[in-house]
Amino acid sequence: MAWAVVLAIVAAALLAGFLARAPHDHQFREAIGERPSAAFPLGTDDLGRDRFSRLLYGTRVSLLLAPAAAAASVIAAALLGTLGGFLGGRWERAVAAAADLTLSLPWLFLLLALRAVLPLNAAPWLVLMVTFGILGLLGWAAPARVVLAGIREIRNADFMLAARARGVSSWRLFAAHLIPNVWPILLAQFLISIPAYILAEANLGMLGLGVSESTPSWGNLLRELENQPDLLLRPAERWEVFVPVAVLILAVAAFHILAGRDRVEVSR
Amino acid sequence: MASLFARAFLTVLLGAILSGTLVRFAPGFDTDTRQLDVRLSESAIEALKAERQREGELGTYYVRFLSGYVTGDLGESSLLNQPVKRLIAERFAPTFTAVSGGLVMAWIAAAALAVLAHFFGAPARGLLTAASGVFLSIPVAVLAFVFLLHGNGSVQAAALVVGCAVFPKLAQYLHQLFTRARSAPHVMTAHARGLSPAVVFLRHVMAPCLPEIAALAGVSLAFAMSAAIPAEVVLDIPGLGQLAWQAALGRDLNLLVQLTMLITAVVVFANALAEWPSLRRRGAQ
Repeated sequence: MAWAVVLAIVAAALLAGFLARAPHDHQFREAIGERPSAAFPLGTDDLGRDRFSRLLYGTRVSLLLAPAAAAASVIAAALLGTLGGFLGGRWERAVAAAADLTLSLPWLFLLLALRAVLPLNAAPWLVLMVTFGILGLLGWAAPARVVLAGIREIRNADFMLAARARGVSSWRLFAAHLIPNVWPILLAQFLISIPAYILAEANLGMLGLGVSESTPSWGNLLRELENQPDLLLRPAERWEVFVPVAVLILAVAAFHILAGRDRVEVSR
Repeated sequence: MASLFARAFLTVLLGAILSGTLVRFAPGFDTDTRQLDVRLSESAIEALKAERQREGELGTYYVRFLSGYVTGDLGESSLLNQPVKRLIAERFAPTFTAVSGGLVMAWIAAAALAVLAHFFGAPARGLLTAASGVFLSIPVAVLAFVFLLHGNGSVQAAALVVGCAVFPKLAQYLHQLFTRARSAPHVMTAHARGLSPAVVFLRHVMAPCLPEIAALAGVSLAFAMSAAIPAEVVLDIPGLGQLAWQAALGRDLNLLVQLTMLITAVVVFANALAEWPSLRRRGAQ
């Protein structure tokens, strides 16, 4: 079921060019603030842009960049975690201390600080890359700690001791015995990180500090909730504004199920 | 104990140096808006430029930045034109109420569900997984918006939002801890010897988990502080979270890094307390 939801959302995002009536930034000046209709399934926003089109293209952005950020943090975690765990001693302690330090930081405060450094006139694509880049860089610590614990366990396993006793070189131990066993840990951490980054971007977007206009993302589509004061009076009549929230929650829940979030790691 | 706090102090110092670096090398550091005043003469503008250049020299800058923490001078907010120290003092109370209230609620709910899951098996486990799964999938800002839709924009609502954001992480982690501890051989022995389930839980399941629970308490503060930002922004609560957001939008980097440093220091020292040796010994026993 979770796979079906993820695949359906991914397919909709990939087919955005066919499913959407117009590009995400096309303004229908004669149809500003339209209610849902056959022409505009989710209506138009206050600039006359098709909400359905923006949702599809926003899905594409979020579903491409959240896994990319997750991959970046898992690669960093893999490099530091495997090396620290394999070398042991002071290297292991240094990686563990750095991970603990990073986990102690209030990540959203840090994210705001790093995001605020960006110049005001930065291009949307640059803001997009930097936002997800920062997410990826800040997220290395939790996976690194899990990788470190996994390596420690593998390092002391019987097959490793046997290989070492047979005189297998350190490099071969690392490449042929350690890495293949770390792979499932990395994959699990990758899947766990995706929903975390989707949520982080959504929170940033709703605060107006995520992906900048006119590029759509799930995060900045949620900003419309805040900018519509009449929603507070008649939320049921404006259901179309809540569709991006529903899609986001559905996608995050599906990713959590895929990642087997029963065993949640204390990350952020 | 002293080494724990020395480590915490070093961590905060490292954070302060990194924060200072971020401010120093941010775009616009060399710009002084006073230079744009058309009434100033050429020589006055040159003098302002020279003053700014002196302030920006690396050695002078870092000494001034770090000594600010000792003297309590955290600089001025360029956005609000007020001393950062005063802004923090004014905005502290709502955040403290929201974060502490949220943490208390989250811990009570998470501990209750984890204990229920321990004693009542599958149905309670299902409830824990469903409740934590739902809250884990909703962005904090959206949770806050739901409260706003229902006309509740109070500090108590912010506390509830923070609680809802922190709860799933605590519930799942506590559940994991208890599940792991329950399968230990000494717990099975205690059951076999006929000790009551409540005694086994308190003495043999929960007690060994105390160090991890204490560590989780430290980390949960960082979760709560991060959740306070969207909660305060959406519910319009004038706390530190909203202040950080205003600083980010207004590119007031000094205010932002001072706030980050304050929260980091609180979290780091809370983590150091969580590693209190007597607590560790208790867990080991």
